[in-house]
Amino acid sequence: MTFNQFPSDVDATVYELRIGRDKNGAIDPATLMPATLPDGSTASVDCRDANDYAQKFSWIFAGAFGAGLVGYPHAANLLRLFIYSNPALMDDGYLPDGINAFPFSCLNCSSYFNDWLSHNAGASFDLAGNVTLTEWIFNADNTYGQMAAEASQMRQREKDYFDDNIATDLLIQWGSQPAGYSAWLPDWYQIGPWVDNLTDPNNGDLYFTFGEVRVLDHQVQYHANKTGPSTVIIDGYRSKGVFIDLYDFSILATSPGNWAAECQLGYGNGNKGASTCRIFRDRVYWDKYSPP
Amino acid sequence: MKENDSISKLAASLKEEGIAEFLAGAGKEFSGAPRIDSRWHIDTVCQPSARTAALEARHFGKDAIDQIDKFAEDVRAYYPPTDSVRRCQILLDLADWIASETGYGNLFIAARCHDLAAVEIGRLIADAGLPLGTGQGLLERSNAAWYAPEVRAAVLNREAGAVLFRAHLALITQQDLDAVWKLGVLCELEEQNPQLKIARQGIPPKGLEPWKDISASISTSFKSHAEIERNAAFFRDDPYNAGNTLSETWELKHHMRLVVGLRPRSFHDLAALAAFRKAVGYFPERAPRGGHPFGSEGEAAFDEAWRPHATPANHTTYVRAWATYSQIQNRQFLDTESRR
Repeated sequence: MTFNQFPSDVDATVYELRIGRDKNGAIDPATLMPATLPDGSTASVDCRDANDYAQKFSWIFAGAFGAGLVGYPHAANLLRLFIYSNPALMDDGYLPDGINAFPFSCLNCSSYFNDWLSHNAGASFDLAGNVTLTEWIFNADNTYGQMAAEASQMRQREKDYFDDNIATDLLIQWGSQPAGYSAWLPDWYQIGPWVDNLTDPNNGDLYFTFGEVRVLDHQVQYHANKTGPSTVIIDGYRSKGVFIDLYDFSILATSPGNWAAECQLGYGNGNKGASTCRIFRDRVYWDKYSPP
Repeated sequence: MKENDSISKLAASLKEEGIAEFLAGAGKEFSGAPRIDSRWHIDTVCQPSARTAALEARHFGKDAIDQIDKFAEDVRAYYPPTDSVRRCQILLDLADWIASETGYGNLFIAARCHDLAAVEIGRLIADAGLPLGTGQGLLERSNAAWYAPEVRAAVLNREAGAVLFRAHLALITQQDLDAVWKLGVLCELEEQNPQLKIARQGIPPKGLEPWKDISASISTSFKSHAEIERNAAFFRDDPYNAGNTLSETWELKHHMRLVVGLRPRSFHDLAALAAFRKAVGYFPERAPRGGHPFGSEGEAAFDEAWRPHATPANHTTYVRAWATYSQIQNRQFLDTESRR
């Protein structure tokens, strides 16, 4: 589209332009929609139809049920939740422990994750950008909680806290304690909240499952044991917390992420009303314990 | 398979007498339940001569579900637990009886019985006034042989009318079931979109390059690929709806549920609750002194009581035990259909 220079003698009016990809099945999939960008250059958008959707969906489906995500069972099972919004098809041992509904706005900046949503699709958003999303809960003893508990991003923050605080306290305050004295330190210390990518070069499943997460609560304790006049060892440890993550896909990602994003977009009237490929939020608790 | 009139008599008896009397009477009189095939099997695979009897068995299955749904009202009511053992035994007996013949519908109905029985077992385990052994004994009865992969594989093969899940059933694992189903889904997708097959077998058309890698990851490890390809339609299930009950989905094709397994997840919850009670000996309610990073005072109390028994392998048992215990106390520990 092209905008002419606005006449100076006309009152200005603000118009809201809503643009997006029309994935109506009636459009020839080979047709490219011409578009003029704000700088005057031109571009084209390839239109998808129902057949194209079915093809992408088949890939995502195959990924969810193992053919594409071999070796990434956590990621595959969460993808099944995305596809069907139904834990019935998740493998035993990966099932969520609970379900919540929560209001979500894709436009209001006070809403968690609206900044992460690449496109307002994958849910039945109203015209004001609001929707009620499903939140799946995974307890600390769930396999998702257990995997999250091992993330190096948790350990690094705990190590930083230990080096900056616990180690100093031990040096200053434990000099006069008798050998054999032991205690959990501190009572509980809150690290965070924080936001980060959960990654592990030796565990691709971790990243494919969660990616960037928002940690709401992260607490840690260490068990210190004075074994000699000038020797203190850390022989116990506990880390506990919870994070939330919006499960959606970016159209800007490389495949297969962009395929999932296209399924999330749907076709025709978008994915509104569709029963497949719906975004959700997961809430994962973790509790890692090494007894003294 | 029973004769049609026998099945009709069974159905009439179940309807008139209710589950308990049926099990004591007609259920004993007949040597076992009729095999209940899926509607898809009857419409697609079943020999015409066997069709009438198969449909009769399905009608019996629907009658059984209706009776179980009626029975479920008592379970949901959370009546005093004095009658929990009886209700639980009726449900477990019905599950045993119906699964004495391992058909598609039999396994779904038996699992539904177990799902309801779990509610009563939970109340028995959570009742500190009753011996732990009462609930635990009933919980052990839920480890039914018909949950095993080889049983489900045999049912799936019979349903498909072909040996898709390999012949040596005694050796089959859950991973085998998963892998065959995945391969079947790929074949079914290729049947829907022949370009995908071209992509796998030859030079992929533009945009389909990844398909070759995806399908190659599993397609080479099965000698029965051709057989699975010939039966691709078997791997096309009806859509799932999380809110649907067994009664509502009775006519649908949901074979993948058999692949994934039908064992209710609430048994995991009950195992954790029983393990907690066995180790700790009671259900604590008083939270530890000072602050704590737990969602509730009760959870903090469960954590503190569990610490002396905790190891790195089991230390989160308190989480599930607390969640289950609090649901039972709030009458929210329910069967899957009631939780929706």
